[in-house]
Amino acid sequence: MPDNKNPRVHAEMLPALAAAVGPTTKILAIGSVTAKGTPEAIAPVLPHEVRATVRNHLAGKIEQWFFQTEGYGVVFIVNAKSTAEAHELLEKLPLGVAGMMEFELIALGPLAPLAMLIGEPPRT
Amino acid sequence: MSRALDKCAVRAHPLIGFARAVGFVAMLAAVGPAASRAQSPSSNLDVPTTKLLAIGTFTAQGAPDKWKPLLAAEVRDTVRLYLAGKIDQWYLKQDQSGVVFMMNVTDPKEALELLGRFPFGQAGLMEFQIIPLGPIAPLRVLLTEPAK
Repeated sequence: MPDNKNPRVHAEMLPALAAAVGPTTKILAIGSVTAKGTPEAIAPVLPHEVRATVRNHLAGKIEQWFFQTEGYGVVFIVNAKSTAEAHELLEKLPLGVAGMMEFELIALGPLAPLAMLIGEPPRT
Repeated sequence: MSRALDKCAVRAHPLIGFARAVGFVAMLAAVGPAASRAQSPSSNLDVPTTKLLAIGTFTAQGAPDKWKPLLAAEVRDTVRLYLAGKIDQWYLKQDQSGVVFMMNVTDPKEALELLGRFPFGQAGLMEFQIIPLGPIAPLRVLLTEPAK
């Protein structure tokens, strides 16, 4: 079970849900610009950032990429087995190295409750 | 439905979004050639909203004894929304706090309405944060060609 740092998770439900959790298959990465990331600071780095991102896509690491259309930032779906693996990948991006972008990482797995449809309800 | 809407939040604050958009346009103007500056400034940033990221999280009321009896119905409604073409991708959050959907919906209100009809939403057990998404706009940097 991954470390639970999310205050919105209620301890009493964790044992009940644990049985329903499958493997981590993707990491959702929500990238936001930090206070250091002023337009002037970002401008010279951006072409490098874009190229590094494309390289990660071509390497099969960043599977999906999106721009947040109501705010400045990006959303990636990363092929990684843990948030640590995704963190290592994303912190090497130029804006990450420069401390101008940081990512909220959410580990994702298959929608386990679908098992209910095949006659295997999550164990309790 | 109105309760669901009240409880749900669209992530972006318009004012912050605007400020950041202005900053981004300045950024692109700095890296782009004269040709891009000749266009309307916003055209550098404009990408349409094509998807919504919906992050569902159990509320304080969402204890197992509340959601367990509803789970089978919740799953079926989720599959129905997928079959209707509205949910494009579905995931379980591994920290066990809820689900993540990528939705083929561009209006956050529509998404919140659809998701608010689910049993968990009706019972106030889960709420969704919506993040509107579009094509990765900075990719446009790669299209800037040297001046002829």
